[in-house]
Amino acid sequence: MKKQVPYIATTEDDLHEMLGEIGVKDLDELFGAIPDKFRLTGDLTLPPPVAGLDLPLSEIELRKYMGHLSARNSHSYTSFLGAGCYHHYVPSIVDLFTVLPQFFTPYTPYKPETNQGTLQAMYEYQTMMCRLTGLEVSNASLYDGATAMVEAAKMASRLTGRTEIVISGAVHPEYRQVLETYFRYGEWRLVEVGIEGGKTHMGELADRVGDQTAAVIVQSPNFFGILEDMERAAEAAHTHEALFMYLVVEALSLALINPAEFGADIVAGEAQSFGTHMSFGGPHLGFINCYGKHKSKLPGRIVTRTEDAEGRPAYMLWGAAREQHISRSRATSNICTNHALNALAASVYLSWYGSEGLKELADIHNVQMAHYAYERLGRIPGYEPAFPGEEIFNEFTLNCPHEGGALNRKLLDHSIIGGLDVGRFYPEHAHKVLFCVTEKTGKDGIDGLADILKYLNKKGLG
Amino acid sequence: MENRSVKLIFEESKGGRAAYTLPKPAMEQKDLLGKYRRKELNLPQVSERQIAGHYQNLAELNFSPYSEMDPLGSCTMKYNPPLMESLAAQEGLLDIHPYQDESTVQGTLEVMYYLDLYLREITGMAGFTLQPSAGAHGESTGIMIGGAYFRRKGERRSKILAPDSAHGTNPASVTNLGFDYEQVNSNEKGWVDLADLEARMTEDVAIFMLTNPNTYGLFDPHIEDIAHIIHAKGGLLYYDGANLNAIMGKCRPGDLGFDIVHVNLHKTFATPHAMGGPGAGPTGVVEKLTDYLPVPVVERDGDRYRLNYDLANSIGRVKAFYGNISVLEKAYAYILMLGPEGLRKVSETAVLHANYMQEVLKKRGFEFPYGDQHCMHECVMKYENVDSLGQLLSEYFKKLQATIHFPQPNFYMIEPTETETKESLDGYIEAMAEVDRAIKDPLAMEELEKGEIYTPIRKVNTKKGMAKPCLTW
Repeated sequence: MKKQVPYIATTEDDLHEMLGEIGVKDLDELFGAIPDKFRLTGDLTLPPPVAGLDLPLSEIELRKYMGHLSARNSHSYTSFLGAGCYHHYVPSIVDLFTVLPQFFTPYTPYKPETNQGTLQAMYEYQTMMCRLTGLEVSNASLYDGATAMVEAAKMASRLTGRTEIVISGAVHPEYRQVLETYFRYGEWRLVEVGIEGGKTHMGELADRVGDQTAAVIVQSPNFFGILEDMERAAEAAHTHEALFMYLVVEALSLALINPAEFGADIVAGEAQSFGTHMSFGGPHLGFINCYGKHKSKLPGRIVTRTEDAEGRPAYMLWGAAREQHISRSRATSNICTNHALNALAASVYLSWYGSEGLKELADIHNVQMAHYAYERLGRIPGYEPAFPGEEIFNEFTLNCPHEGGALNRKLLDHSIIGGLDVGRFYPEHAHKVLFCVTEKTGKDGIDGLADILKYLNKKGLG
Repeated sequence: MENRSVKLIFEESKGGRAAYTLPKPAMEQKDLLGKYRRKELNLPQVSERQIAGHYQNLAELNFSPYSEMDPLGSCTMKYNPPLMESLAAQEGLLDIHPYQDESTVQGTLEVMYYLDLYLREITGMAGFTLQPSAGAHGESTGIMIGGAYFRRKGERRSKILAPDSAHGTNPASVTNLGFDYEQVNSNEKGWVDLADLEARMTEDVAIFMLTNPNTYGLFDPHIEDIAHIIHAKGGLLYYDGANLNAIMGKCRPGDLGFDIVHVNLHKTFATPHAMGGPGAGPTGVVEKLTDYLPVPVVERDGDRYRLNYDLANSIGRVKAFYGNISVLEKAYAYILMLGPEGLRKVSETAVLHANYMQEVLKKRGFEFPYGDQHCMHECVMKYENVDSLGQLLSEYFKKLQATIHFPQPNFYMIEPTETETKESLDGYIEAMAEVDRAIKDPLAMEELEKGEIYTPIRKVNTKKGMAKPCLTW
């Protein structure tokens, strides 16, 4: 018997029966529309990744090979990297539900009657996000923080009829790069505001906002880990009737800080911290929240509660006229695929922590721990706070006696993944390192790093 | 009927309940962030037992493609192997940070390197970016690459074309990047109207976006002429890879004359749709455009993999970090598992199944406007009461409905995929025939309505839902 291809159940008998029903003699006839000259005659060439491991692989071979790949990544080191991707603990129950077939296999819930589970979960997610940001409407996820910020900037432009975006230079550099990439197409003006002492230069920001500004974008905590004066930024935006976009990259900060209290019109960003693994940078969880009056321009899917023909509570997608499958060239965005499974993870995560747990996690295991580390590491000779006196959440920047990259390579020898070499994005700050501390770092992790840094002071990097 | 609605998690909340555990404080607490602290926070307070029950009950309100065939046209709802889920869930792949030193992430970089290589071979492209998170994101990326290419050549091209049968994302991607969108007509065969294309294809046009096979499930046999028309005017031909599942190992977009290709890993390469995502939309280009790809791209240097940020004309970045890595890993594993012969078999079987359904349904009296041609991996049926058809199939037969009202009103677009058995195709056909009978015969409808209802709710009042949005609890 000819060997079946994995995941295909059609037997030789089925094949002949179906060909007979169709009235063709062989499979080739079904591909008759492809001009002969383009038809492949041989197999595709897919070289084995490892000598001798020829395709196709059995499940056993595949597991062994992918197991090797996983083992080649260093994942059990103590890590001090943050900068837009955070090593928070993911509770077991989150990982249970993201692999449940009823959640990971279905399509977008266009047909409400057969997707009530998805729709209700997204409705609950929207509610939790709004409670965290203090705003009124949330979409049901976007790709990631950077693309969510771009979508939110376009939304602000649609709402104001203006085409200028004022953005702080202390916004995550990769986010700004994505915005620059997209805004080379169309009639946009990007204004970048300088940094002073690790924070957005608010005086300059106020000067640069004008009557053509659609949105002012400031991130807090910013790229250097510092909490910005968001009220001042909001005021600058509102003076010119521009919208203030409060950008959140470390979503756990929402546990303690409510953007609505600082004048946010739009809260956009990244919620990977809520139950999504780092996975080398994706998939993560982009989000946009806004006020109800702006909802018709909000990109991405939104779920509404309604009822069925018998008056029972039911959920469905709202405002399809905003979306590409209905409005095509007039849609508010081209978004179709989103990150619903990550939104589900966030809901399970937020339910698991609840109000009290999330505050405890943020406060005791992130803020307090980061302050301990800030102080402890900042006291080591040669190390000092780069921006002293500024408020931080769970990240802080230190001036270091070594160039960041060289220091980090040395720390790897001691099974420590150091903080981010700030010089990677800001060449003028080659001796600054951005450290992140979370509940996974622990006091022992911090003390361990302090000991190694002292040891390296004595021994040198050589 | 049993009431299967599930209370909101907020309705289960009670002060004093909690599911979380955290380590004891390791040090004395200070009063920090005083002036920033929020006034209140109101998240559900529930036990872990309640969370388990809540999400389990919600899960049961979903029809899963695991229990029923899901023939959504243009969505390629094939079987998502649990193997790939568990491989991608290994700690060494999940718990790594995008800014870790390259020497500590060689395993993941190998996945990216080989997936890129395989996608090049499958599509006939010269280079790929793995950054795009979805098909539409790939479209944006491809359009930006095209835009940058013409800008560098000093050409001002403001228009992008696509046929009337294109997915909604095509025109949306075009206008959202500031290009003008123009629609090209299809002819009575469902193919691109060549005369119309020729008339519209001026030196103002940057790109023609085409799905082939198209959304009628038809392979456009004049693809060589189409490519010629576009290239003669200096334009670029874009391949919307939504329907790649029909042609793997049979022909390659690059050989057909396409210059830019996006691939939906969550369709063709069996990564799950996950209620809407995450997916991934790697985007490939021909040689002359490889310099324009987003950075970084993965390269191999001897036995080390590295990220290369240095591409002469790169458009920049289209997302933070490098892509939806877990999704890439699943697709990579799928390709390794199937190999060249398996991939060809996938496409052959998908096409066989769609043609079988088209022929049998035709014989049962259903109308297929393009049924005089062999379809590819999907077929389109025209049906007057298409809403009722879908609704009744779900309510009384627990069937997932196909794509409706696309590419035209009253169309029912069936894509059975290769992973279904002949028995499930036959079962679906039987259910369609029964529903059709009921729609046309009141007595049969009466009989049908005596049956068990499988949907947890009845038809949703969409009119009310649209008019009176209630978007949070």
